[in-house]
Amino acid sequence: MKPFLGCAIAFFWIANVSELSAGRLSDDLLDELRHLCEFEELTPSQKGDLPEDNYKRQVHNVHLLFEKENFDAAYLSINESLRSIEQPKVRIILQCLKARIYYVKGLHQQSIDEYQAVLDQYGVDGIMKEKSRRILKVLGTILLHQARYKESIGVFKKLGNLLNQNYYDSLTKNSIHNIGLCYLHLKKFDSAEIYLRRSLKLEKESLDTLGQAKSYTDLANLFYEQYKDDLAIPLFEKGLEYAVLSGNDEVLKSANLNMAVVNENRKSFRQALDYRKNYEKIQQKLWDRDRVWELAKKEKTYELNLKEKEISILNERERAQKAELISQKTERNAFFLASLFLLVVVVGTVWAYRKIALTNKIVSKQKDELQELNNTKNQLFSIVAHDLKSPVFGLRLAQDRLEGAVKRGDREEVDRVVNENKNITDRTYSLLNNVLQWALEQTNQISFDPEIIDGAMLLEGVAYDYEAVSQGKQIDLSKEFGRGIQLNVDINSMKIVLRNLLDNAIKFTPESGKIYLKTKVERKECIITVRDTGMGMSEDQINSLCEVSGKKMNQDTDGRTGTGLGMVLCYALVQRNQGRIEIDSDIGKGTSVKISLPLYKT
Amino acid sequence: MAKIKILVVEDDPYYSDQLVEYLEEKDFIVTEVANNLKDALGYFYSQQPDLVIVDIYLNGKPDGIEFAKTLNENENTRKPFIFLTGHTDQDTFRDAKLTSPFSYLIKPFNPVELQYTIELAIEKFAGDAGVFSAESPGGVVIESALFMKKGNTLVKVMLSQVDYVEVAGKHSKIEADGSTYLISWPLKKIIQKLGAYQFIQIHRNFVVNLHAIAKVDLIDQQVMLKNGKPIPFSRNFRDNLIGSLDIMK
Repeated sequence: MKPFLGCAIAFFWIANVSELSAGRLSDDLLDELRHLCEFEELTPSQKGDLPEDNYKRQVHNVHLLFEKENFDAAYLSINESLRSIEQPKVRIILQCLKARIYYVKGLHQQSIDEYQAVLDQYGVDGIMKEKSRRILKVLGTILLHQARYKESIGVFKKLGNLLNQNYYDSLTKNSIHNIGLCYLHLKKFDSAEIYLRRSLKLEKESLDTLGQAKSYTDLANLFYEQYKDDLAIPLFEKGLEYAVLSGNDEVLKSANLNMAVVNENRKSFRQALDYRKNYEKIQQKLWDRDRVWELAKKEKTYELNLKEKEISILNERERAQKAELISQKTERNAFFLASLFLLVVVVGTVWAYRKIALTNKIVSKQKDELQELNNTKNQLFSIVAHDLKSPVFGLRLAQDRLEGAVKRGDREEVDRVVNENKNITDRTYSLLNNVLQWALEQTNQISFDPEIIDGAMLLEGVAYDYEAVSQGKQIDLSKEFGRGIQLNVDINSMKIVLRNLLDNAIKFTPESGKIYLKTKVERKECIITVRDTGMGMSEDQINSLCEVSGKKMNQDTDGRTGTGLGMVLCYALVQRNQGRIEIDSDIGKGTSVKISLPLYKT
Repeated sequence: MAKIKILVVEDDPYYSDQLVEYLEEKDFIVTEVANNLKDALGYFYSQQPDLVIVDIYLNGKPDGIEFAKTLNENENTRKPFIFLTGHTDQDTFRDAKLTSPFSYLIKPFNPVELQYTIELAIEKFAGDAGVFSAESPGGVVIESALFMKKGNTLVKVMLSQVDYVEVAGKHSKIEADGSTYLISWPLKKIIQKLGAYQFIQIHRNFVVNLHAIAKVDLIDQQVMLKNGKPIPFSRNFRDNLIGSLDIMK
């Protein structure tokens, strides 16, 4: 019964140690892998098109999979990588990881073979010292676990050779302890005692309570196996004592179980019961701890899920906000475009409307103007036609009279008729001249070419033509011209004006009347005055002088009516010469026409 | 005194007759009446008139303008010309204006207008507009002739025929070829105008033509003109006179 129990206890221990060691190796390798990835720049560049990037990417991939504990994928990836990667440094790590995966998956033999292969392929010296120690340690532990004690001892001894025996690191202590354990399992108690005592010594020296607890317990087991209960029991107690000190529940639990079994065997049931109770208490505690751990883990997962949910909700919300923002933006843009379009349409419409309105306005204005011009022209035609009709008819009659007089040989009658005819033709000529000038003026064809001319010269020239006429009517034409009055006017148009004024003066002044023709300078202007002692005009007549239409014709001293065209022409031509006309008139007393023209500045 | 020579270029005998009548009435000499462009140019160069009155339209063509253009081409033979026209429309005037005529005469015209137009043309040609109509009328010098008013008539006096000029109050008396002309210019201005010719001041009141001097009497301080008229010279102008005579020799 006893050996079985011891074996069970020992086995429990071995399993514990091997698990621990294997786990640590994996961590170490992971560290190594991380180190490789970071410091050897195995992390692939972002572009990923360099040749060495290929294996870097593979190693990185393995690394990631390992960290996620996705061993199946990692295994495939490692195999893939091993086919192409040749750097020993990397291969060793990958192979160790592969061995580790075998182990985790329970393929212990394959794991051992893989580790062995690494050691065989590169030799203990070919691998970096630290790495080879770890491999040896893991290999030894696995072999121990697999009850291949002899092989395990070989491996640990090989490891021992690589270690500094005086150095109290955990590796040294472990290897010595494990060799002891192997001998124990092989029932080679002498050798086992030697190694376990050495282990205990090292633990003592390094003041490792846990190690001492283990060592004492294993040593106690050694003696217990040999039925040396007296030696064993104190050691078990020692083990328990150190287990209490170490505070490691697992070790304390085993120690208590050991004490319970030992006391049971020596029939001290009460003590055994106490230890068993302790054992169960610790067991319970461990379970509790595990449960709490699990609970905490679950809680953590739950919280994590919650957080993830929150995050996802936040993400959703953010996405929704973004979408809303985009839609708002689109809406705004659409609105803006729509308003712009509307504005353009409105502005365009207004512009087009205004343009049309303006055109219409211009057209209607032009129409009015044309209408007016046409009316004027029509009126002019009728006046001219009428005015031409009577003198020409008069001439026709005079021709008959002349013919008769010539036949009769009546010289006096001939002279009279010829004189009358002269007058008629003069007037008609003057009328025709005005019509022509008016037509030219109206169609803007009249030549207008201001020249510097002496006022007296201008007036003398015109007056000359009226000397005879005024004498014929016994009208005294008095001239008074200031000398050296220089004008800058269009001579021809001014002559027309003056002729018309003199024509009118003579026409409307009865016989023995007087006409004054005068020039003088007044306030930097030349004033030309044509004054007569004639019939005069009313205010209305004066006001209508400058219009062609609606004119009341005045009968002159011979009872003939004029067209009034002459005065209209005068107004237009004087205005063209930058001058103005003023008319003063008293009915029955006479009329005075004043033309003001700007002086030529020398 | 020389009469002013005028060439008439007019194809309408009614107007050319009227022109000749009016011009002769006003003491102008009509050298010839041409009725076409070719004759007009021939007469112009052979007779060298002082002024030309030219109708814009000759036989229905604006040959008057052509004539004016030809006149303008030679600066040395250029003379004042007056356009005669019955048309007052713009197109005609625009074409005529390009030849820068010195005046226009619009048909029908009277003798007064004719005379003023001639005066205006001569003034403008000499670049001295308004000189004949001014309050105190002066004259213009064109080539070697002095144009001025004698009464109401415009006359031409060859500078070579002027004997002397004498101050007469505010005006000046010009003695030329046995006639006396009164001009409303002070002596100073006359000297200025005649400066380029052989005239010299010998007294405060006298300017004489060097060519008219027959002899100089230093004792009596007078010069004897070729026509026998004695003119006194003063001490102030003595050096001036003697210096000028030296140049003559």
